[in-house]
Amino acid sequence: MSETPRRDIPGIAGSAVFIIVGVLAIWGAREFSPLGSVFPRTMAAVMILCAAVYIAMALLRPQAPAATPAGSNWRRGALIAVLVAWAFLFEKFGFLSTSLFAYAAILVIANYDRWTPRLALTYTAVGAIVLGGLYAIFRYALQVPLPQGLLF
Amino acid sequence: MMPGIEFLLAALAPFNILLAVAGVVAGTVIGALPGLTATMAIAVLIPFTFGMRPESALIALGAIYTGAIYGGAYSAILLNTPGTPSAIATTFDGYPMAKRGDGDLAITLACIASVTGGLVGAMFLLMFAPPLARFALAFGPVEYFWLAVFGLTLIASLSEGSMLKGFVGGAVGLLLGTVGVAEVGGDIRYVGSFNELLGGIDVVAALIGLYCVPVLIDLVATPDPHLKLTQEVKGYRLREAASISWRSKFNLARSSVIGTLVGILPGAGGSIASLVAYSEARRVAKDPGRFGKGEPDGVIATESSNNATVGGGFIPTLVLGIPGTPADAVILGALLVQGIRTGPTLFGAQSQIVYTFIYGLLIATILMLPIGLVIGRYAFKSIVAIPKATLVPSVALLTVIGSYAVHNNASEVQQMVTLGVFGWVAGRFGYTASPIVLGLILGTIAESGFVQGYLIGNARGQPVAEFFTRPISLGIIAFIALGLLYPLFTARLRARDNANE
Repeated sequence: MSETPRRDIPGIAGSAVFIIVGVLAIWGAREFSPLGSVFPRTMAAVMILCAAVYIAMALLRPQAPAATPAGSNWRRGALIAVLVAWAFLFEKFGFLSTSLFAYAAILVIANYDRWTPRLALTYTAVGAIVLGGLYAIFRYALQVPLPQGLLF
Repeated sequence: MMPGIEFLLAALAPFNILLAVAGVVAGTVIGALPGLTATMAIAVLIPFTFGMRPESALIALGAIYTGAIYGGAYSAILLNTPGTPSAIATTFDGYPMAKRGDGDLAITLACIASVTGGLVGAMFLLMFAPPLARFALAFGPVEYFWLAVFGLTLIASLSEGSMLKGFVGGAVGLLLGTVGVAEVGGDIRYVGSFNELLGGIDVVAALIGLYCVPVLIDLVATPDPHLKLTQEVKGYRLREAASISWRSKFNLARSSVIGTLVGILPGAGGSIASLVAYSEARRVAKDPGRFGKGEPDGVIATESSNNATVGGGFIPTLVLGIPGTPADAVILGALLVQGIRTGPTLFGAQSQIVYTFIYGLLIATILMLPIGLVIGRYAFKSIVAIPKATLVPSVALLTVIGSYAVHNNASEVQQMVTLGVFGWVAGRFGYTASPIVLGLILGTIAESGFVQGYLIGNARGQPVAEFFTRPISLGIIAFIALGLLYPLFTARLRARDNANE
C-alpha cells in the first residue's frame, strides 16, 4: 500500500521557525562589527532562502512527509523533563545524588515489564553497579572533580 | 616511502594492544545494539581517553570506531535491524541469509569483509595521507572555505529528497558555531545574558547531545524493538566464508576502495559508502536478481565498504582538519581536547603520534577478526538481552558524565541536553542531526577562511575574484557542483527507468 502524497506540514512548520530564527540572527548581527557580522548574516540569509524555497516547493509539490514516530509521548516528555532537571540541578545538589534519582526515574520511564520484587531487585543491583562503577572510574581513576553540591 | 618501523613498534606496546582489544570489543558491543551508532559509541567513550597519551587515545577511538561499524552487522543480519546506519544495506541480503539458516555464515562473511575493508582503508591512510598533506599545504583560507562548503553540500546533496532541509540544517550548525567570542575580530555574538556561552558552544557536548539524546527519547517511547534472536548461531563456518570471500575477491577489493574514497569525501560516511558499494556490486553482478534475496556478495560489498570508510575518513580528518565521516567529527573534538591541532603540519611536527596511531588502527583491524568471530559466536545473545530499562538510564548517565568531563563544566551538560532536545524536535520536523553537526564543526574553518579570504581579496581590490579564480578553489567548486547535481541526475535517470518499466 503506497502512501498518498500530501503536504509535509511538519517540514513547512519547521522551515517557518527557521526563517524566524534567521531573521532574528540578522537582526542580532546589527550590533557586530562588519568583520564579525558578514558570516552570520550570510549564513542566516542562506538559511532563510533555503527554508523559504522548501516551503514553496512543499506547497506546490506535495509528497509523503517523514513518518511520525509512534509510541508514548508521556514517556518521551518525562524523559526530557528528567534530563533537563538533571543537567540543571546536578551542580547545585551534587552529582551522585541527582544521578541516583535520575537513573531511577529513567529506569521507571523506560521499563515496560510488570514490576515484581525480583525485577526491582535486579534493576537496583544493575543501577548500583553501573552508577557506582562509572562514578568510581571518573572520580578516582580519571580524577574528574564531579560536583558534591548540597547533598553528595 | 613507508614510515619507519619505530612507529610500528610503538603501536605494538602492550598498553596500545590492550586498548585496541578493549576498543574493538566495546565498539562491537555498542555497534551491535540497534539505535546506538558508531558516532555515539565514540561520543560516550571519549572521556575515557582524556588521560591517555594522544596516540593511545587515537588508537582506542579508532578501534572503537572500526569495531562499532562491524558490530552494526550483527543485528542487521539476525534481527533485520541495522545496529548502525552504515549497516542499513547489510539487512538487504544478510537477513534473508539468516532466515534461510545461514545467519552464522553471514556473520562470518561480514567479519572477513569488515577486516579486509578496514585494512584497505588503513593502508590508504598510511600511504596516501602524507602526499595529501603536502598537497594540503597549498591550501589558503579561500580553499579551506570552499572545502568546508564542500563538506556541507555533500551531506545535503546525498540526502536527496531533503536537500534543502540539509542546507537549512547546515546553516543552523554554522550559526551555532558563531556563538561566543569571534575568532576573527573578537566580537561577542549571540551570547545574550548567558555568560557561559562566551567560550562558544562546545563541540563535543553538542555532538553527544545531538546524536545520543534523540535516540534515548525515542527508545523509551515504545517497548520495541524486541531484541529476540530469530536464528540460532550454530558455528563459525569460517572455511566456507573464506572460500566465498576468495571467489568474490574483486567485489571485496572494489567495495573496499569505494568505501575508502567515499570516506575521504568530507561528510559522507559508512551508510553512503555501503549503499554505493552495494549498488555497484549489484550493477556488475552476473545475476543481479539474486541481490536482496540472500546473496553473500551483498553482505561482502556493504560490510567491506563501511569499514573502509574508517581509514579513508581519517585522511581528511588528520590532514585537513575536515571530518571525513560524522564519527570523525567526534574524534576531531577529542583531538582538540588533547591539544592536537590537525592539519598538514601534523605529519611533520607530530608524525610520531600520527604514524603510531595508523599502525595501531591496522593492528586493531586485524584483531577484529578473532574478536569479531568470538563475539558473534558467544556473546550476541547476552548483548541483545540487556533490557531497555537499564540500557537507557546507563547511556543517559554516560552522556551526562561524558559531556561534563570534557572541561569539568556543568554548563556544557546543559548545552548537551538543550541541543539534544532541539535535535529531537528538529528531527520531528524532518531535519536530521548530521548537517547541523557538520555545520557546527566546519563553522570555524568556514568563517575564518571566508573572512580572511575576503580581507585578502579586499586588499587586492577584487574580493569576489579571490574566491573564484584560484585553481584549487575552482577544482573544489567543480566537486561541489558535481555533488549537488549528481542526486538530481540520478533522480531523473530513475524516473526515466520507472517510466520505461
